[in-house]
Amino acid sequence: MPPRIALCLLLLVGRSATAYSEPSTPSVSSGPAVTDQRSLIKRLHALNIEASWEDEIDQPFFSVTGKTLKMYGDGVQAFEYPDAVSAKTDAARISRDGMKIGTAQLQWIGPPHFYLGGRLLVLYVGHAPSILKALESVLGKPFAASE
Amino acid sequence: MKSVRGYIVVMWMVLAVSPTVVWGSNTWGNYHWARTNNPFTLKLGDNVSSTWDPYLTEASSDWSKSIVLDTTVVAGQTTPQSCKSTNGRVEVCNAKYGYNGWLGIASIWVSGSHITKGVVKLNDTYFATSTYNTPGWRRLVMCQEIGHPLGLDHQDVIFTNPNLGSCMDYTNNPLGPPSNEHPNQHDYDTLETIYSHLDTTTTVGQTTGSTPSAGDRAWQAGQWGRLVRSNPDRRIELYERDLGRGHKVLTHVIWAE
Repeated sequence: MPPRIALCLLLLVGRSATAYSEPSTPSVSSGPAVTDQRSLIKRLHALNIEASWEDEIDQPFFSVTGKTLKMYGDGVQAFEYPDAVSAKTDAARISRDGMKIGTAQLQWIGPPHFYLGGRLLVLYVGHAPSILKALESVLGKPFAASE
Repeated sequence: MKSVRGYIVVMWMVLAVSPTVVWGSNTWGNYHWARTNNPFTLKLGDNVSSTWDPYLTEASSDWSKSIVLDTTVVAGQTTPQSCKSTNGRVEVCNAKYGYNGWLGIASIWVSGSHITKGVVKLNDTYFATSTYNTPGWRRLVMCQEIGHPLGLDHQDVIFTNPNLGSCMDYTNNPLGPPSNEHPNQHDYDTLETIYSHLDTTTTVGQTTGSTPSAGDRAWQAGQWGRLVRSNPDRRIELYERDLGRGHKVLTHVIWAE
């Protein structure tokens, strides 16, 4: 193979690999950043999205108790940590597909989506487009998710 | 009962180039139970309700078809809600753990890459609903959650693609076809890969009531190297001992009744 063609192919492969590993910047709506439970619901309400807090929720793999946020008839779990470092520490234990957390394996009822904003870690298990769109608009793309 | 004395051994030296090693794709990292021989027996602590009992028995039987391990259901040592772990074994529990998004969770404790204990929780909050209160879902989740503490990962995590015929495959429809209610050959092959080596120590709890011949067979098998093939009833087995530099001893064993 001529060296020029080989170099072009190499560049193409490198480019596509880069495009895969670095998704485009998420389309977060303008407004103050979501960093905790209060700012999350505030931003959702500002976008005219109905959302209200319900019961507390405990997950065996997270170090804090969360709260369930009711949106479009479905539950979204929001875990507020003392600080952003603690939230990132728990987030770092989650695999990219969201199926493993530390040394635990999950059988979810639907595809999991994990978001991080400041000291807030958000989990939505499901595939409702309205919820996924709303969460992405205030928190950006999930850092871990499955189809 | 099979006796360690009652076997016929055929050995031959093989001069070969390095064989292609096919690693299982659904190993969970490098996690495995430390043990000094195969097959080893892992205890599954029964902390489940009578509704779940047949599924636990069935899953235990399914995974025991592996030629490298057996599982045995024993009395549980915890309460279903707390589901605390016990060294050297896996506690299996069911309770209403809430609307938290998961049907089942399998947790392991490790020392390096060695699993030291495990816990399986089955979430009755969802299994009480008409969607999940079916034999298909119960079989899939029980089978999958017990498969994880053996060292297995999922084969596939996409809900909507065709079933692979394995309980280690995510699906929206456990019945398929093909059905995802039981392990498939790929899972058994992966277990063979995971447990193809022996350790110098064990993290598996001592098992009472195991068949004496299993230990004898395992000890003898250790001398022959790793088990590479076996027929379904384990009467005919092929072991491979690597002597290095492409030299191998293959030991073909026909066990007597």
